[in-house]
Amino acid sequence: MLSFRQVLCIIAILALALASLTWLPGATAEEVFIVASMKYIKNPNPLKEETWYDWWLNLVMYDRLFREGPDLEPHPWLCTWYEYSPDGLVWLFRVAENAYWHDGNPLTAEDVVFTIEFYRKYQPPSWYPYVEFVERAELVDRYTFRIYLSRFNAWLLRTFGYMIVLPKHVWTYVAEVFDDPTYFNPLSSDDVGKVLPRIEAGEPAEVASKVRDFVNRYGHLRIGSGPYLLTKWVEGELLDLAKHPKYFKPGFPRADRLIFKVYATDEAQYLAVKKGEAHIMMWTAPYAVLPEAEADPNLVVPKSPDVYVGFIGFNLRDPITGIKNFRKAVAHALDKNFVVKTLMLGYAEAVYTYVHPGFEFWVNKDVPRYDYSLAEVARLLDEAGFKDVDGDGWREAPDGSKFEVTIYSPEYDPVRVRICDVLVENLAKVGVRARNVPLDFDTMIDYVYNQLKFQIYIIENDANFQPWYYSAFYVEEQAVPGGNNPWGFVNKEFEEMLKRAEGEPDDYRRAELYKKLQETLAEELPILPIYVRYWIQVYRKELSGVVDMPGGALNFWTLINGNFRGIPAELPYTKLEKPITLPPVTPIPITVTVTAAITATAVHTTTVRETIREAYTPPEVVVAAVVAVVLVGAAMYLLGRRTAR
Amino acid sequence: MVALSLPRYAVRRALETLISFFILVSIAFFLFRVMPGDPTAFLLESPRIHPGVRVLLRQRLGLDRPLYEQFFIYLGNLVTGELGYSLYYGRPVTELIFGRRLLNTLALVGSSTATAIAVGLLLALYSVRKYRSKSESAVTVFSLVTYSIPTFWLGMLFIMAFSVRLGLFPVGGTITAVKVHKDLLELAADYLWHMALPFTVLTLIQIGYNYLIVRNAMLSILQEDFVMVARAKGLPEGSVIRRHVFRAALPPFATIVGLQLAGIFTGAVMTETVFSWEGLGRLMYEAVSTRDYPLLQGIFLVILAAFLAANYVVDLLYAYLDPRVRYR
Repeated sequence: MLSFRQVLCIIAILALALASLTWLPGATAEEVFIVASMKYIKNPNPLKEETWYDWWLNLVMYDRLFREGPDLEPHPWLCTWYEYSPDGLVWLFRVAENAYWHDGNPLTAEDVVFTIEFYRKYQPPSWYPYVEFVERAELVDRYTFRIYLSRFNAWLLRTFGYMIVLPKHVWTYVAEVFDDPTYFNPLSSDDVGKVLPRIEAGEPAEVASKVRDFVNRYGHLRIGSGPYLLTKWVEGELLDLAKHPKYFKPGFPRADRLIFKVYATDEAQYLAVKKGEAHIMMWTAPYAVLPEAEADPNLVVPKSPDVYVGFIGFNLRDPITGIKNFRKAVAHALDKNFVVKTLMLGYAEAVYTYVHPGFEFWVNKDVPRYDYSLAEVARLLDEAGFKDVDGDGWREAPDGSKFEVTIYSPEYDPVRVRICDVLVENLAKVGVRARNVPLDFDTMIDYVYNQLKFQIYIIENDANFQPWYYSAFYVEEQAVPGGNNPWGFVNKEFEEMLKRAEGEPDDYRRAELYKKLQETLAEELPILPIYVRYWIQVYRKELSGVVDMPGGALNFWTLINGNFRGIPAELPYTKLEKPITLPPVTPIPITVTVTAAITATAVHTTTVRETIREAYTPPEVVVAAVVAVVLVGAAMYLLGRRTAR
Repeated sequence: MVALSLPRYAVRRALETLISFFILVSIAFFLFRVMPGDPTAFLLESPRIHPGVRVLLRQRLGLDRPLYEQFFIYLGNLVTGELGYSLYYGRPVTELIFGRRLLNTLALVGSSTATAIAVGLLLALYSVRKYRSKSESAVTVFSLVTYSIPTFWLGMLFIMAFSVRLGLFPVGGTITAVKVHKDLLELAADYLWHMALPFTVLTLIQIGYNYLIVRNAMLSILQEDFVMVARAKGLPEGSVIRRHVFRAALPPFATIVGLQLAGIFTGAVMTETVFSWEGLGRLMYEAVSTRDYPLLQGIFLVILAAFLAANYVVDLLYAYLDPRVRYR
């Protein structure tokens, strides 16, 4: 039998042997841009863009007619010019003549027409909403196509313009093999084996041979036309992409390889960037590491406003929260400044409007702000008949019955739980009994969106703060179980105005209409906007070409600009070839930020920053403290045993 | 009372195991669905996803079908070995479970569990022999400490110390992202290098458990009369412990080992998360948090099969070691 010492020796030898395997990623001639991603792609099929991670991969692998710029406006990309009929029901688009698919076959207008018809026919949930108002599409010439709309859509470029274009010479045959093309897995050798022979049988030899060569080289059929092509994927681990050699934007992307490597927690992502294993975080850095990150000379800590807005939603069907004055009272009971400065340590901004502040042109800054005032809360409640009739210190409902309001918060986010705690405390000060019930996210969504069983809840979302999506939220047809209007906000005048706004081609007139819609939302209060967080994607200083924009420093522009040669960022929008023949789109005056520099730092007050620094405890101290506790515990244990003997 | 022959006993237990399997699978089916939650809720967490997607997806997934209809479809598929499509990943459940994730889990959790069992056993034997010595106290304290430390905390500590500060090991994952592996040996070496930290943490955490169980079992057996007899015969202490005490402690230890080995399939959620080790534990965690019923059922099926199989084998082992259990 082995002695204790022998066992220790074996363990030590094993540890040394493992440590001897150590190597760090060496310098290579090619530029490799590594993104520390939180999760792996969920759906290899580009038709199923259902999670943020699917979105990232499609973003760099598939091109669109337009791309969203750092100003959050659509800019021409594959599209080289466009025009539309006076009634806005017929649109003509021309696509770039120098664009190619990853397999080397040319991208033409035929692909775009095919994509539109394909989405209309198979209705993949992720892309059908982008074309549902397109009645038909037709090819005009090799690089020009026309679409006919069932109704005018002033936001066409932001919806239709952002849909991904599929290669006709692949997806025609996918649809032949799979009744539902969303079940095709382009990374599966079985599925590729079913589709490839069809392509070879149905396409001209020069097209099919390029597809065959591509499959032989990379082993998949996820063929796009974006700046990067997929070369390797390791399930759950990483996605390795290479620069598209025939990309239609010369000089882009800057990096030779782009890797999305999974680090399962935000802490691990941060440590990977700090150590140099990755260059930029995909998730926002945890607040606790920010002081350390800011002190690290190798790191840059950008603070971009998130695209999400944190808000409170009310159930307008409920006898208590359905009373407008009650909702207004709740709005006045929440101190947004306290939320952003104290609860969120200054890494957020208070929001008062119903359009994300990034879309400045569309924001109505004059909507009621519902500033914190408990006196106003009391007045509104009194006015609505919420009075303490029996003198027990708690107000009764207008019908004299006792009530308690339940607020749902997501248990995984301590900030939102605390916001609701504060709201409960403030409401108690004016005699309203409320309780905060933290729930896991899915349960909360089930109660709120599916069962419609709730009074108040807190959530973060962005889409309902983008005016072009208003009709997917604030309409009666969505006020059903499973719909996007769990609040039950039904307002015919609002819907009429929304239809007018969506049909208004002039940006200024449309903005005015949307500002009026925001006034209605602020008055009716189905939801109460609270904050926008800063999305802090820490990156390494040697990474150049970072474009900071709302939503974070990691975005399409950073992914095509990222390099290690000090080349600054450029925005290579496609210049329209000829003037638009019909009423031009009015330029929108929104400030563009194209810099790696931190622009939002000034928002933080010195006091908050200093408080954080003082509160920061170095990890060594924590470790030393724990070791000390363990040693003391061990000593006490040994002492106890000796005494017992 | 009649004793069954071992083969007949084996057949009877196999039938019982199969019945248990179908009962548990059915219970699980309904259990997962009474759990509040929405399989499409993840779409609300996904910035940039069109708001219309969620509504359309709910219709397409057939989540509005009656529960009994879903159950019979599930049973029918199960008989044909079809586990369905993951709602979240949109891929066959078998592909997600029986792929790289299973290998990763078997490699990490399997090796660390086996090591922890072996080391725990050796340490237990040592400490029983050296009972009440300083070294035995040190081993016990060490085991108690490692057993009590939260996995995520120890994991983060290891990453901070050995990865970030000393730069000896990677922060997470199973292979080096930028490296192009020339051959299988290089890939294996890279894989082992990535596994070093999670393996060490998981082994340390499990050693304490095994050590304490075996040590306490053997210490209680030390008080038995037959041990006194063995000593009285003049047998050396080592021989008493190995041949009498340890052998007597073996049956309960076999049960624990059997269950631990079956537990390998459940993965190690904490360790896999901290070290970004994509295994079954993380897959299960995601399936629960996204209410991915088909995937949850698939993972549950694998775990259930592993536990029932382990239970079956242990039962047979018991029947072999101790014929009394075959009486009915």
